[in-house]
Amino acid sequence: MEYEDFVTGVRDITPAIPPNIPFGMLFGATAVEVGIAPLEAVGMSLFMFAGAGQLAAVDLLRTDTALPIVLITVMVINVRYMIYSASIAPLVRDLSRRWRAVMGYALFDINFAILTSKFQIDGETKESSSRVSNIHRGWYYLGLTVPAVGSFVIATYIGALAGGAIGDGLNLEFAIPLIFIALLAPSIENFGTLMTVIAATVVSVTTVGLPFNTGLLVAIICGVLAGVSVDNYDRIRTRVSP
Amino acid sequence: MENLSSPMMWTVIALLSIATYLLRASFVLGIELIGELPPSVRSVLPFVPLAVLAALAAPDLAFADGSLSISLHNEYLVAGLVAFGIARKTESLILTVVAGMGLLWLLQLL
Repeated sequence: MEYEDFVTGVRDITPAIPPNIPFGMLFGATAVEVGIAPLEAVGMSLFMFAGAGQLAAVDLLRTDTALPIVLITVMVINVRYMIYSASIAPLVRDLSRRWRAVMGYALFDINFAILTSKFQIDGETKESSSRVSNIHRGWYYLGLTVPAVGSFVIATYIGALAGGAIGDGLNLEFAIPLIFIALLAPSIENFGTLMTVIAATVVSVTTVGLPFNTGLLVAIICGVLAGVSVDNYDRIRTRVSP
Repeated sequence: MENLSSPMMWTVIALLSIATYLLRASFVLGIELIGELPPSVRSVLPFVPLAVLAALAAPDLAFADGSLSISLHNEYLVAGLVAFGIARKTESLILTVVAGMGLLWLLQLL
């Protein structure tokens, strides 16, 4: 039964694995390019397992950013995991502490999306068949997660070896901002998110000279404030208008 | 970057991993203690990753050669802006990166 639930998880995550592989390879290659050892890159993929967060760390270490700022920035970029954690918490309330401690590792966009679509938030199953409600959520989660982490780690190692072989001169580190752009561009879906991006862009460029890269935090705060204020303004306006 | 020794780098990786774990485990492990996320916080959080990504990417493009350059002579900026358009249209990570890198190399050849 438990084995079956694990296999169901593996089957459900499989279509989401291929896009993870180039991301892992790119991370490995760019990490090596900026002077991180292949094993260190693999360690980041295995222990952090946080694509954009890992890249942000590499990008900031490359420009000799102070460690506290690196840590804060990575936590800020990974804050979405906390939203995921809050969203799946009601789903896994009945699992043991040990199981939940395992689920705190490697929760990310895809296994979160699959988990929440398979089971409804109130703990009731979306599909009424008993087959779904009997699934052990811990084993199912592991089935979703192990292939995702495994393929990402292997891809990182391959990318790191390949990046080392390609060597300098190709400006491979330019892949870092390109990945950030690829993640950010499709997420601009309304005026609020657009204002966030514009404010963060302008402030980050104009504060580049500040010591220890503190301008980055200023830019993040300004970006969030810009988005939230537009969002609030929109909400007030819709409430006032008939 | 060169001044980070291997033990130092592993310390950084450990710290980053612990911090990331705590974010993920927060509610899953502690929901009995901390309860649910208040709606006010929930409405702010979606803007955060966008602000971070923009704040990280923009200086990489505008200061690609070490000094501020916002013009068509900055190949990184041009390639980045085109990549932005491709990302919006295709929503594909790999297409965006391949097209952006390709365009950069092309512009540098010209």
